[in-house]
Amino acid sequence: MEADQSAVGRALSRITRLLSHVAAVGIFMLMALVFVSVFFRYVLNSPILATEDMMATLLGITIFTAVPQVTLGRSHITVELFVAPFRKFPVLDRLRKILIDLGVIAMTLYMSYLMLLQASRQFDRETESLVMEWPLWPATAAFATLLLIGGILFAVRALRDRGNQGSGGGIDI
Amino acid sequence: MIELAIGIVVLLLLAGIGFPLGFSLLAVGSVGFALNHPRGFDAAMTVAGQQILELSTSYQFAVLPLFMLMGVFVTKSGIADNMYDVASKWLGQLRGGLALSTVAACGGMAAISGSSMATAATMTKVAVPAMRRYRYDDAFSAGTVAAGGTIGILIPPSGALIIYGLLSETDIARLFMAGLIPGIISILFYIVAIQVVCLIKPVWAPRGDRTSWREKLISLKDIWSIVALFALIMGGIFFGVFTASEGGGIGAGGALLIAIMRRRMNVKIFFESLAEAAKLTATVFSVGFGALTLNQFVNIVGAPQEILQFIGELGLSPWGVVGVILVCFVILGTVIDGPAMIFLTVPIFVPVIDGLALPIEPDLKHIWWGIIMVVAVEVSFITPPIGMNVFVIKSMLPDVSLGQIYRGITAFFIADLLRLALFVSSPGLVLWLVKKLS
Repeated sequence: MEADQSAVGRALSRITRLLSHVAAVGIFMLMALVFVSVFFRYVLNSPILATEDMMATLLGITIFTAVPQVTLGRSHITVELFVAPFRKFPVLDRLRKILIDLGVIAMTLYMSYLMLLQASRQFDRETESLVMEWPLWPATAAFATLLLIGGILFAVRALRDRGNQGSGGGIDI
Repeated sequence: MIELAIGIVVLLLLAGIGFPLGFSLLAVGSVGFALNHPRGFDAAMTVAGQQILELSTSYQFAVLPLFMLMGVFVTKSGIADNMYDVASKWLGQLRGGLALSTVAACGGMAAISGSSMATAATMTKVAVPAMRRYRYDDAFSAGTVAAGGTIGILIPPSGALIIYGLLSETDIARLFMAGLIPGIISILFYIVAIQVVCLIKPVWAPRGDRTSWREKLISLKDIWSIVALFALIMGGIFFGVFTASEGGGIGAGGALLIAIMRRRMNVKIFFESLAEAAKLTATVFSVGFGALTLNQFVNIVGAPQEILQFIGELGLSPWGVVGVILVCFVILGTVIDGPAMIFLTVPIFVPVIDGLALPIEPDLKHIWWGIIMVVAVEVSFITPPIGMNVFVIKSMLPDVSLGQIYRGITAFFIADLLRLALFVSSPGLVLWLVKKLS
């Protein structure tokens, strides 16, 4: 993300950094957990029962803290097959970018809503994890919240950019 | 089926104007499912939510970020430079030696990275400046790196094989075993392609410097740790010491240790690597969320059954059907990236392959098809108009045109088609190691 000295810019950058740290910790713990688990199983002959449950949760945390960063950095995978003609008409191209930004906000909020629905179902059905029988809804609700935060942050960013920033993950032909 | 055709057109339009691929798949999948289900959007949202949640909290899929982390550690710690250096000391003095070194180093990177585009991007930085120094043709240099990078998803550990294995419920350890021999054969095919190019256009690839045997042997000390890491992960997975997920964790930890031992790792690079691996994970899983939702739409309109029926009506032989599917892959690969293609096609084509009377043991059919599918995806990475590896290299070498890169790829593309034909027609070759070690 480019340097932005305004208050909103600083806030965006701080939250992104925080999410980045959480995602980094998540993936590191995933790696560390595997190491510890193998060590306990072979050296101490005492497997850690919760490994599978913890890995599943850590995977979710890693993904849903990183998705907002990917969205904010506009680095989702894109295939810009029909973009070249738009580039010849700057106004049209800007309109395209604004529409894409609106679509990204809508889809991020849609995903957040989907996770909220799942959390609510898990709460109603008292769904638990396979091995340790932990309730699953708090983690799913957290995923919904992270996606919501991502959607709001991207909306702020899109409002500030107003179609002046394109995709960072695109393949431009 | 008309609903699906409309859905695909909308998907192409959305993705084509630059809407993120994962979101395009999710939007088309959700709307398509809702319009074809009696409970409409209620059912679509339940199904889409379940797909996203199941994928993002699957213990088995945790293997993917771990191997990605390993690849990032390896890339960030500059191990690719050592690999290229060793390969160029051993092969550089031959005609086309630096191109041969590039392919060999790509194979080495593939053994510890598992990503085609990461391998291509890393090797572009490492190999192209050296080839330019020795006045290699720009088109040929770029083509070599683009093609060499594709080996990244065949030689284990491979992200593509992991996704295929999890979706088709095929043992990942056996898939990794099966990927090894075809991976080595792929390198050999590329070596032959380079030699043919050197015969036709000797000026494209002059000889490099000669290196003494002493220097060659000493250079090996730079890569022993990587060889040991590869042997540890693959040995552990092949012989059942640990699962594929655990292999990923141990591989990432091992790559970190190697980087620390080589003094190529500090706190800043460490955190950057973790954050980058997390972002890569989110990027791939976002596409997975969308593709799995689209699959629900594909299933509700009965597309797999209709495709099976259509293929049956064509009256093709089993090999003819395989050929038709492979053509579909190469065409699909020109507009959709590798992971999305695997997420989308496994539920449709694996049942088709299951139903074919091919001369392969039933328990090995999925493994053979996994390798064939990944090779087809590899070919699509360098097929116009959108060869993913070609675009990665184009973005890193702005002074080389797309046309030049595609020209440089021609020999490798022909080699790719030949090796694909070899693997399809010789299942015994693909499955030899699996049968030996099982």
